[in-house]
This record gives sequence, C-alpha cells and structure tokens, in this order.
Amino acid sequence: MSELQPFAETLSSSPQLFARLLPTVYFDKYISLDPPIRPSLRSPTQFRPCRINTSALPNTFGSSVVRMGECIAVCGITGYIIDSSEAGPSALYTNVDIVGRTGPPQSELMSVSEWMYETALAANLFDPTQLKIEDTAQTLVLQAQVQLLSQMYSGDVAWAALLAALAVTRIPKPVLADDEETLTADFATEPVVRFSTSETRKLELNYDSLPWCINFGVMEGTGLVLADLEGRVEEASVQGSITIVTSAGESSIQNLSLSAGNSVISKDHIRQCIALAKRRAAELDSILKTQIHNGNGL
Amino acid sequence: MTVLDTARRSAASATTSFLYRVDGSASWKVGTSHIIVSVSGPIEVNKRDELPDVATVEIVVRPDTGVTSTREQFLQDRIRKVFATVIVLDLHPRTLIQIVVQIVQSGDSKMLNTMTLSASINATYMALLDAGVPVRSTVSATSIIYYKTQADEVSSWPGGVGVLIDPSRTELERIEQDIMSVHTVAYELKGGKIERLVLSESVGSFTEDQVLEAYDSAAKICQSTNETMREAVINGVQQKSRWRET
Repeated sequence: MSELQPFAETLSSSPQLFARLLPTVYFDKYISLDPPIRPSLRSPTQFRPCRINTSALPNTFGSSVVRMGECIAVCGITGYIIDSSEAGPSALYTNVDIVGRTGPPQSELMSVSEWMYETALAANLFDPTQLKIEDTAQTLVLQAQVQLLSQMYSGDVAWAALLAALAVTRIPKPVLADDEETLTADFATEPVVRFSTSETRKLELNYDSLPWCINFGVMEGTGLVLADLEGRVEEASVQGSITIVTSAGESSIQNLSLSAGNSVISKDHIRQCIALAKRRAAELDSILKTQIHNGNGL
Repeated sequence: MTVLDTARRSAASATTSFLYRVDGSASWKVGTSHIIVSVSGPIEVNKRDELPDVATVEIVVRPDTGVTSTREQFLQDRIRKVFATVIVLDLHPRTLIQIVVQIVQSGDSKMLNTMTLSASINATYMALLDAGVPVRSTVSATSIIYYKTQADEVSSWPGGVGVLIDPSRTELERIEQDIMSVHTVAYELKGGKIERLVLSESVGSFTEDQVLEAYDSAAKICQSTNETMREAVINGVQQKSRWRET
C-alpha cells in the first residue's frame, strides 16, 4: 500500500505573484522588519536614484530625459507665436502623455496634466515678458510636451523633466521678415516673425534653486513616513500621501498637496516631509547642475 | 487678535432633498459659489466596474460653463480622495454610489479653483447624508487665501498680510494680483469635534509656519461649518416630519 498522499499539495508561487495578488500583505512583510525596509530595498527615507540628461532632442528649444527609479519622463519645449492680445494667463502650456497610448486619456493622466499646468502657473517659473517680440504686437508662448515612458503616473518625474528642460531652454532670436506680412488683432499689418537658426538666447528662470516636486507616503497605524513612493505595491499599501513642490534652503514652498486616506497625518509628519523635501531639492539641483556643466547640457 | 477675528467671512447656506429622481441631493452656497450635488446609491453597477468586497464610487463633476476639461478631472480626483475613506464602502459590496457634482456658479476667479473644491466637498457630504449613504464621520472644507495688503488696509498679521476665508468672486478678483497663497483644507469631524485633516491643497508661495497656521485656522472654520451643516440637517428633518404634527 502506497503512503497516503497529502490532501492538497502545497502551492508555491513566485514573490511577484504574491506582490500582485496581495500587495498590502507583501508590503507588510518587508516593512514590519526591524529596521523597516521596503520591497525595493530602500529605507523609509531613502529616495530613488535620479539621472538627468538634457538637450538630447533635436528640433526643440530645450529638452530633458529624467529617470527616477523605474519612472522615465521625456520633456521637449517648443514654442509658437501668437498675438499678444490673445495671450492667456500663462506663457507656458504643459501637456503630459504616456508614450504609445491610444484613445482618450485616463482620468489620472488628466489629473496629473491639470496639476502640472496649475503648479507651473502658480510657481511663476519665468517672466513672460522676455518672450515678447520687439517692435511687434506678437509674443512667443512655450509649449512643454512631457511623455512618460512608464505605465506609472509619476507627477514628480514629469515635473522634474519640465524643470530640467526649462533650465536649458534657449529661445531663438526672432527675425522680422521683410517679404511677408501678417494681420494683427486690431486689423493692422505687421511683418511675419521667423526664428533665426543661428542665434539663441537663454530663457531666464525666476529661480536659482529650482522648485522640485517630491512625494511622500504616511502609513496607517504606525504613521511611518516613506519618501518617494513608487510602484503598485507601495501605492496600494500606503494611503496617506503628501506631495511638496519646493526649492532647497530657506525659500518658501510652492505647493503642498495632502491626502490622508486612512492615515493620521500630524504636524510633525508635515515638518519632517518638508525638511526631507528641501534636502532632496538641493540634491536634484546638484544633479542637474553637474549634468549641464559636463557639456551634456548645451 | 487672532486671524479669524479680523477676516471677513461669508456665511454658508445649505438646502437638501430638492431633486426627486435621485436618492439624495444638496445645494451649498457660500460667497458667490453655488454647487448642487446629487447622490444615488447603493444602486446597481456595471459588471465591468463591480468590486467584490466594496461599493464602487463614481464621481462626475460638471462645470458651470464650457465643456468638461482636465480641471473637472482634478476636482473629481480630490473629491474622491476625501470620500473614499469616509463612505463605509464595505457595507455595500457590488453596488454603485453615484455622485454628480454640478457647479452652478464656481465663485472662483479665473485662475483659481479653491472655492469650487471646498464648496463641492461640503455639498457632496450633505448630499450623501440626504441619500442615507453610510458614512463614518462628518467632513467639512474651507478655502483660505493669504494676500499682500495695500498700505491703507488693516492687516491681521505682521508684515502686511491679509486673509480671506471662503470669499466671493469679487473679493478674489480685487486681490488677485496680490495673492500669496491659496489653501483648500478639509477636515474630518466626529461628534462635532475635529478628528483629523483629510485633504489639503496649498498653492502659491508660503512658509512651513504659514501652512501649519492655515491648517489651524481651517480647523476652527470647519468646526463652525459643521454647525451650519447640523442646522441644515435639523431643518431638513423637521420639514420632512411635518406630517407628524396633528
């Protein structure tokens, strides 16, 4: 008689399957260790490694490729000429999209897009008067197209790509055509404006230290602060979130979005996040400056 | 002299149960903002959207003028973040709670959406109550704007800073060029007492102390907004119970 077979065979599955099926339990296994660690093996206050490349794209006034962890964003800045009277409140229009996406955008993508436009407007990144074209009633407006190369909606990486691209943006010198005219809003005529192919001038930003976007999570129960959330597992397990847009040092904060979820977010949490954010902003400034300085920039 | 003593404050008013083909409805008016929210639920849900253990929440925001844009998506996302934890979703699995927020008048100046967001959160909560959707606690929201005061104006803070709380559109447009920071803050309350901060959107240029001070001021305002909601609910119940009077 053969030995009794076990009633049910034990199931074995890969850690990846475990993470997909039960992300909160998977996350908990890591974070309950002493000292706590995340599935990506980062410590709670450790940020993702960041790489920035600038001016890699042709046919743009400025461009950047920013990678933070697994999220990659590419930003290209172009411009077009409009009549000054038609100019809206912003001289910079942003659009965020996912590479290879078809059909109408998902609501989260639209939300990120709107957040970027509003933050850029409120942050007042540059003085729009430098875009006015002299001796004409026309002005240049900049358009920033940000493409996300990963499936994760990372507003902070998209914003970083925008900042890096603006930091290296050069506006071509406008040249008034002597053979063609255009109609202005008040029915006068003016020379058509073309761009010089040789002369450019740097876009002057209102910031020496750029206002980077940094995100945090606050856990339910323990109230542990996690810096730089990334991935489906962390997003499912950590409901409380704080997103801060600030530059390094004593300067003021431009944006603070807070959503508690199930967690209790205290003033100490907020203070801790602001302090970490400012340090990270200084770190990102330094990464960008090194990048530009090493000749990759211009 | 606290911030609240000298800041002008618009009174809010709410009415409920005026739409007949939905489970609950509420209207919230504050300053020049007017938002109407309808709630239906728990109702039947598409198989595609069905969740096995919790109710599905669908929020639609419709603008006062123009077509739906990314701005409405942004508002929808923030409103969802507030109510996803307040509504007791696991009491009604495999159902739908449908919330439609109609902006009748935004009350915001062109570049802002703070009044729309705070008024929408308040109106949504009142509508959920009216519909009888189970909720864990009370939610109330407010808008606080800090601006640089002109030389002749009395300012409530050192350094010439003025404060507006739940302002009207005219008040916003008057100080538009001098806005320093805009804060939309929502608190959760239990038994009329502040429990915790649930949502906050702060935009502009502000320091750590200013934003934390804004949270404190907002807590006091939300407590008083909670009182307004209580009165509105009491009035509503009294109206509905009229038939009991003999």
